[in-house]
Amino acid sequence: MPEINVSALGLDYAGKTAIDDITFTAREGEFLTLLGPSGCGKTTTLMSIAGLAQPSRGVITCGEDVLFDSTRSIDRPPERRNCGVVFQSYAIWPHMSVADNVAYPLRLRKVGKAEIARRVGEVLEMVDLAALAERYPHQLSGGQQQRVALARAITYGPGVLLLDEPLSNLDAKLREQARTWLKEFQSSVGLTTVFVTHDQDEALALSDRIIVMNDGHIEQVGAPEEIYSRPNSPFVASFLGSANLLAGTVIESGRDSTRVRLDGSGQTVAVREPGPDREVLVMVRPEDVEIIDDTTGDESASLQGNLTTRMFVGSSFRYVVDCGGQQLSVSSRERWEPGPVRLRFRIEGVRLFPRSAADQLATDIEEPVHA
Amino acid sequence: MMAAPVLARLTRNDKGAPLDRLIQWGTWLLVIVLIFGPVVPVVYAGFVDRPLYESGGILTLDNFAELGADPAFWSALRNTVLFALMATVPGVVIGASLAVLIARTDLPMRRFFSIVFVAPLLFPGLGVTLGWVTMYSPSGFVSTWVAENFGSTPWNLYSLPGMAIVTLEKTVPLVYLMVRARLSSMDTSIESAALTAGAAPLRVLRTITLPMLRPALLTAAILIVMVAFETLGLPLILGAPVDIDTLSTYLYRTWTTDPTRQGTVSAAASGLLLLVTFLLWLRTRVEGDGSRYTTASGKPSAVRRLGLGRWRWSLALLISGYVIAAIVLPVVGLVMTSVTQIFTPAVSPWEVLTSRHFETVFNNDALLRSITNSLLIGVVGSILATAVLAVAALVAHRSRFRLRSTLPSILFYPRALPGIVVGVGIFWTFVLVTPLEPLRTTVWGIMIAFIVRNTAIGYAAIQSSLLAISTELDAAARTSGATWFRTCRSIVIPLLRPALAGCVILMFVSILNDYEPAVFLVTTGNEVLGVTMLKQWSAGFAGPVAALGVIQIIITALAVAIGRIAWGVKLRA
Repeated sequence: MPEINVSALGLDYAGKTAIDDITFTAREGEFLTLLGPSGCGKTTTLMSIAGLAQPSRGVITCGEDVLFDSTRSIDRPPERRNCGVVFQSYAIWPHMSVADNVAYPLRLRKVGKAEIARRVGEVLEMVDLAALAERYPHQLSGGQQQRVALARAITYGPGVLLLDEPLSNLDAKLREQARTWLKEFQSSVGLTTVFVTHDQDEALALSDRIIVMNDGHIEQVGAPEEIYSRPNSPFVASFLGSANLLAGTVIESGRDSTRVRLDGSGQTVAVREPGPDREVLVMVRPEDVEIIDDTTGDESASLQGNLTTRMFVGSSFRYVVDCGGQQLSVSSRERWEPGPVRLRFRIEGVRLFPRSAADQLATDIEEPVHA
Repeated sequence: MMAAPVLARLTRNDKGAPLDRLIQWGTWLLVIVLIFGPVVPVVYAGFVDRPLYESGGILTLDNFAELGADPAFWSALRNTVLFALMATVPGVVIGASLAVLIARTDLPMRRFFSIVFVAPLLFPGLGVTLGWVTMYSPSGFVSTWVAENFGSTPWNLYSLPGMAIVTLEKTVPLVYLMVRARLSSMDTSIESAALTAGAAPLRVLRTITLPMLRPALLTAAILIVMVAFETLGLPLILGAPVDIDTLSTYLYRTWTTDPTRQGTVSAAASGLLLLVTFLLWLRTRVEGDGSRYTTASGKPSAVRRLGLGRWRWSLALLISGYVIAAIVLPVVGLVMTSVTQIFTPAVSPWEVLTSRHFETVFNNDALLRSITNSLLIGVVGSILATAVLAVAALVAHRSRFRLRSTLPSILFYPRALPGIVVGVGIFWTFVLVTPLEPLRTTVWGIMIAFIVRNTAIGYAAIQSSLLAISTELDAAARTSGATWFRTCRSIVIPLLRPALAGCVILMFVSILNDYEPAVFLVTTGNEVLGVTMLKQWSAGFAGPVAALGVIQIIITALAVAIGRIAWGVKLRA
């Protein structure tokens, strides 16, 4: 299986830059996810690889094949790129049966009748749809349609698999199942896969690596755990999982020990990394904050605050704690009553960002709407 | 799930991509030649000092000077403007009122009315005009009856107002459809909001609904003006006997009576072309401005109908009167004229029944030929046109062809081509382009002229369906390895089939009923229905003309029925 190289890719549309300077490699057999809010350019990037969008600049290669190169005016039409694509709407052809849908790429490749039947059978077996071969698309459930789309994308042995939000049209329960299924499927066929989604849970669960995109450019690349625990911008921190971002001022800075005075309450927190700037944002995830009894008197590395709201979310409680005007979200399995509390941060989970990086926070980005 | 084997790679051969480009360029060029081919010689002929078939023409403005010096031209222009004004105001008022009443109120018999109102769009224009004459002309059935009982008839069909009244037959349905489309895209909750604010139903119509309709009304008005400027048959039948010329009859008369003035005709034709093009441009602009009036709406709510209260039945009665007078009686008149020796209140029609007129039609070679010719070019033309329009639509909306975005406006442009101008243009093209010369006297030349004139109707039908098919369906085929053309053939065209059938029917009906572009092309042997009717009428043979009109209506009705039964085609004009 070849790897995909995307280098300095940019696309301008109607005078605006949709994506700019996108560079990444999807390694052989890797499950690589493009994650970002709607309009961040992730689908544009995917469609540029498939040949369905026309980039303005950059290079795209798939193994030895140059698919697109603006300087050499190479732009292979989509039918000559050997990319198996699963579209958001699945795009199952309504006038063809399941078997005909899956056989279509084989017919284009002038495969013999017997071989077509064998391969279609084999692929439908792989996606657990062998029994439904003669059905028509309107007789299938959403999950089944999605698997037909996947079967059709892989029948002819494409170089890579490109998935455009294939799970977003399924309802929540089914999506969970489909996610597990897709993960197993991809690792068993071993196809290099580029997956586009706006759903952070999906990205974290499925990917070998994640590329977080925002506003047409790449914010961060890395393995799911790495990106989650060490986000390199407030945007990534708040887009993947939830994050408290507290404004503060560095009062003491060392190479691996910094003290920050929080705005409002004037309390200080210790952080195990150098301060990037004087004015900073302290990032800590709700599950890295511990609520401790205000009466124990343990004041080492702890903050005072006022617990104002408690919400039961099933597996745990969500609390809102007010610290001198800054609101913190805290996740805990213990039940606490509103009133004065002390908070302790798990120091490995605390990060600092320069406050100037806070222009774009993921919190005020709308969930994409799907038609 | 089972462990999946890695699938062996299959490659495809790469032939076929050059074919895509060939088809795309070929289609674009064909469309350009078809639509603009007839326009160029008309304009050019207006600027040279001698007929195009004579060599050594010198560019000149003399034709325009000559035109400007012809008082007949100015009186024709004046008549046309008056005619347009007289046709537009009542057309818009009646059409819009009917649409509002049907779409927004509890008027009785709404379903029935909504079908009857649009029926005239499928009627052959010429036949219906003759129907009006048999009923409402000074010697017509209704006029005679009124004159006998009341002393005189308060109307005169052979006048500009008379012509304007007859035009209503075609313009009211057009306005009705446009306004209805606008109304159905408008959420009734904006009207409900006014009701809950305390406004009475009629006040809601006046202060909320009507202002929201303004862009639609304006577009409809411009459309009627365009129709008034280009229509030929109506002023020829009603205006010519009393020497009222409009621009189109002026063109027609000058061309047919004075061959030396072809330059002047061409100059006038290019003027007419420019004017109608301007109107089309204006109309497109008004349509574009319509977004200001878009209502934001969430889920479509059920239509809330305003209660008309005590006006309900009186309005229904009034509308029924209109339907009978303007839609039913003209058709009855045409049918009765075709089956009686004389159609007048003085003699009971049942005593003078005859099949003579139909016998004449079937025994006269020229008359019979005009039926078979019309059928032939209708069938062949509608299929050819649909094929070309389908490929053109695919190039325009489903390819990366460089000039794709020009295609829709080019194909919609013939709305601004007066039939008579297309006729003059095609005539010149056949005269000038020697290899095409043999086409000039055949039915195929007429077929091309009819297709060119009616592309917008067929294209609109295909385009709206094509845009409703998700582009991901063809993207999926492309990434599966299919070339553009293969994708069109195996994915898009099959999904487009109902729209294509609809396009065939629409084009067939349009070609069958059109005649204006053919008036300069018809000679012995290539007669078509409309032109034959026009000529026979001028020669005074009302009976056979009516018989032809009835045959035309029957063929049209059959075509629509076949479309409906065989392909489930529902025509939306």
